[in-house]
Amino acid sequence: MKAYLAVIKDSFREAFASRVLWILLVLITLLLLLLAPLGVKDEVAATLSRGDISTGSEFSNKLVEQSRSERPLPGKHIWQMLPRDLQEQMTQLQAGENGRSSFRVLKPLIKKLNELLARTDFYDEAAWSRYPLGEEARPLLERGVSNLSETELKRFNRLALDAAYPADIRSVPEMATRVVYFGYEMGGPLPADREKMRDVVLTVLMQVMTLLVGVLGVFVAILVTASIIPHMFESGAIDLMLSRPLSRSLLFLSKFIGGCTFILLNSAYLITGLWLYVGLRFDIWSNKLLLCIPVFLFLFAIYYSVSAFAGVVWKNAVVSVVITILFWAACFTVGTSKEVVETIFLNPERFAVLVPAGESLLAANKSGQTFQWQPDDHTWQPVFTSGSGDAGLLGLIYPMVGPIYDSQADQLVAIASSRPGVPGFAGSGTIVVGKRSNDWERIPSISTPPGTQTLFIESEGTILIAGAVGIFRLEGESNTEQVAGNDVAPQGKAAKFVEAGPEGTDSWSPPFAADRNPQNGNLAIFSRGTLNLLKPSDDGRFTIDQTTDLETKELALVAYAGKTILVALGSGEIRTFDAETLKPTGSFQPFDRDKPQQVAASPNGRWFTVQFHNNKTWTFDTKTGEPLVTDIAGQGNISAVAYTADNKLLVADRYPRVLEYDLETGNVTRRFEAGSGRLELFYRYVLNPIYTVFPKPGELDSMVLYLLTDEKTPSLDIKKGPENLQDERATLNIWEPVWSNLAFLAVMLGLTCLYIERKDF
Amino acid sequence: MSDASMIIVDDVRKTYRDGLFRRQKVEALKGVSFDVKRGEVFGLLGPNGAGKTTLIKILLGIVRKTGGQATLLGRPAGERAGRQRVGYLPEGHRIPQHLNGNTALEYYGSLSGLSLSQIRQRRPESLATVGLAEWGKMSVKKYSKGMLQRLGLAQAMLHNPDLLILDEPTDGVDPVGRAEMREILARLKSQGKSIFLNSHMLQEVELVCDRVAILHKGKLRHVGDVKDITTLSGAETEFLLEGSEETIRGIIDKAAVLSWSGAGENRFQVGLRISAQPDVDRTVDQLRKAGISICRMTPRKLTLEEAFLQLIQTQTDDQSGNEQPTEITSFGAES
Repeated sequence: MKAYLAVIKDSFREAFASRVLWILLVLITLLLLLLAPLGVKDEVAATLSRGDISTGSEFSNKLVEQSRSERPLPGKHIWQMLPRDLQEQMTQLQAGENGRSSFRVLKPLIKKLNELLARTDFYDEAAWSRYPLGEEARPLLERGVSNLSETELKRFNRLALDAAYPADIRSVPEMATRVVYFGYEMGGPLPADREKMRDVVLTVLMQVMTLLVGVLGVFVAILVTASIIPHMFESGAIDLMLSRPLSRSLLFLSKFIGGCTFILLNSAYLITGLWLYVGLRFDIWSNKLLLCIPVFLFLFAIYYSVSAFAGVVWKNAVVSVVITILFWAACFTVGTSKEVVETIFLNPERFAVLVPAGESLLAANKSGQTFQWQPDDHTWQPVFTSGSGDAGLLGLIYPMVGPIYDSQADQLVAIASSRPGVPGFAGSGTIVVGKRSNDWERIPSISTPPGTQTLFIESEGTILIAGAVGIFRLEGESNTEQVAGNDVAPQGKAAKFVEAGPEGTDSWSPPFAADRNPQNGNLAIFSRGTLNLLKPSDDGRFTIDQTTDLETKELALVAYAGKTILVALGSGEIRTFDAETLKPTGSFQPFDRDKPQQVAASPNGRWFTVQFHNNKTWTFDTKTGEPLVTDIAGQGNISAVAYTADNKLLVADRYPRVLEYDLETGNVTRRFEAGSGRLELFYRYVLNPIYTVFPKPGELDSMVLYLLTDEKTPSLDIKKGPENLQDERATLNIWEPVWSNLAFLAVMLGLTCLYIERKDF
Repeated sequence: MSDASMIIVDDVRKTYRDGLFRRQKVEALKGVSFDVKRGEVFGLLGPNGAGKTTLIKILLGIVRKTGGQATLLGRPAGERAGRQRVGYLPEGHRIPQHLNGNTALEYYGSLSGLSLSQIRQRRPESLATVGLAEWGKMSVKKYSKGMLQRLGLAQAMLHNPDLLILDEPTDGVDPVGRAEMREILARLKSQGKSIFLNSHMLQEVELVCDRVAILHKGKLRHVGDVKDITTLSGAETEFLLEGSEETIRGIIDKAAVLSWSGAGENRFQVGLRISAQPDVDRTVDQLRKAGISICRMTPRKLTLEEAFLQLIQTQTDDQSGNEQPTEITSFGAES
């Protein structure tokens, strides 16, 4: 063993003798020194910046308008404190005179407002009488503005301003974070709090490391180390080694390990430096960051195994480099082809929502397109379209809640966003309905309150929506029949959403999830770690019957049927509760920390099925109180689940196939399977098999991201707003690349050893 | 072959395969047999391409033999344990450029199984032995070819092996260095080390080897003591004769004439390939009987180089098919 260790030790000696290593170490040092002064500082968000005002001219005009009001209003009060020349400029802007640009008015206005925020008379109780202060401002007001410190006063006035102009001024969290370099502030406060800051910093760090170490570092290391193995096997050098009482294979493997020292030294230096940097500057002590060193070492080892094999066979460094680059290109091509075909062509086509509608089956894909199964010709035909070409194209996602089936009116109901956007539904959309009698043609109706997350049809056929903003029922002259009718004007005043309780709770804190028991009409609502059972009273308003604290901060999904409520938490934990008492009846963790994406309950309350972001399902049988062991096909590829009215489980396990299972017997009772397209067939029988057997060095990025964020399915939602579990998430393929790459590494090293053992030198 | 043999080579054959489909055969060794005894300095001679290095690599397990048997220190050739007590200096060896004299010995000493303390203890002496005591800290990049050769010898000796296999050890070494190398080898021999020397520097071999083997085109031509080889058919007697050239040429055997040159009027310097006394007596009698004056007669031993060339030439010319090497047991006698 001493001899082999000597080979590894010699590799360190060789690495340190390399000028390239020292040049890289100097460059890394310079990078770290440049980064060192860059940091963030927290401060109380008490100032107003340009970015906080949505539309400058509207805000200015509003102040002008309010200044003319008879009643005391915040705008009138503020106006009186503004200097005369600024008032004139604002008036001119409002009147559209002199081509006054909003920018030239807004700049002095913001400056003046920031001065006014420091005054104790900025807030006037009478002026703000119609604009109630928020939770943060009220305690400050109770203490008395004259008793507040300068910072507190500014913050209070800022909050008062936010309360008066919620549509114009962005409210900011109490603490704002600013980027500083050498103590100098760079730009305004960041649109992220400290918690989100951590994610941002770690994600940026991951990208920096992937670029610097995973791409540049590995490339330089391949160039530098390409000559090590050919030199070892040169005549005159190999004789000195093979004449020793040593194993040829172990000598090679020692040299191979030694060859990895170059990247080890560089990556260890850079990553340790970055770890110290984010620890000291951002107070993010992510020890898992250090685990990225072996990950990058592994990444390099994969490429180096190819380089070493070529080096042994051809004993030429240039050939080694060329073959390694060709290998990289092949991996990149295979990986990218799969990614492109999946992301752009196949995933948007996969079913996200299954809607059993009587004897028919409808399904909505991830692009927001809805199809109906045609049993006669075994095809899926597009339905629920407006006829104006709202079909998703090339990966564009049309966020939609639903559709769900209204059996009474025999129609589909959904909340749709008319614009394609990033995955995730902000909740502000339009109710759309499509009647079977009208070929399911989609008719837009009234807008929903912002933040709507769930949609139910009550037994009377009324539409009930729920979200963090509250629970609303569509009331008035309208019912779904009328809303769907062509003679009712969209946005008609006749139909409106009316708050449906519960009393004293005008909003629910996110994370939010809800489900309605189809039998008794009760609601189960999950809101920031609490589970609430709501029952409708005689007047239809909901009242809270039971509440229990689940002591979790996780996101959740809720399913409620029969006498069971199932809560699937973002941590991957599934909890079941007695629906009357909310007492916990079970807890399960089927797939480690994989997040759930969809839950479905059989109408009779017997089975609950959870579909996870890993595209696998897990079913709970309330009769036994245990998970149901049944053979559901397509595990790892399941995109949607639902139950039919007769308690059969529908599973979309690949596009364009849905299978119906009778869970009592475990048999497939119906198949909804259309012929696959050429691309799907190419993907299934060519691209995916090649990808499976190919090494995946490029996908070790997923491991790095996982190590940094501790998140297997990071949200793709890049806009602000509450995260939710139904949204499409990037499922990090963490372990498959590791095993695949390990297998490849073992094969390459094994082949090289075999060659060396059999070769005459 | 005795148990005391450090190396036993018995009908060793090696065929290399070449070409796109490895269908082209090159016979590098065509059944070679000899042994090297404990404590002797054995030289393996042969022109380039004779198969000398292949034979050494087979002994060390670097190349696999196609047939025959070979043992190294009593172990089958190629077995790791057999290489434990062997020091090897390959021809044209390459010591990594990032090393210096000290670290090179540390590296190769570790490969030979020495501990760091053992290496540090033995290193100064090894370097001093090869005349590199002052150059241990200098990068091998700056070493001359001769210095590299010495360092190569130092790494081969560092672990105090019983058998040293040296492939062209004086290659690139200046005359002074060669003399020093000879001294080192003599000292090692006096310490009881066995040395297997592979060289085409015949003068060196002649000066230091006890026995030599001559390999040519994969076949062993001769094995024996150096002095026997130099007196083998190549031993010469030089005459200065006075008389008629025609008469002289009529008397002496044309085949035995090695050289002929004029040395004045009717005087000729003639070198004859005769060394056995009866042959000499017979030639003298015939010359005198014909009235030829023998002004001078000088018996002269061939150098190893001359003998080697003669043997190689003879064997090349001799296509009679005598595949057996000549084992020289005594002066002039062939077995």
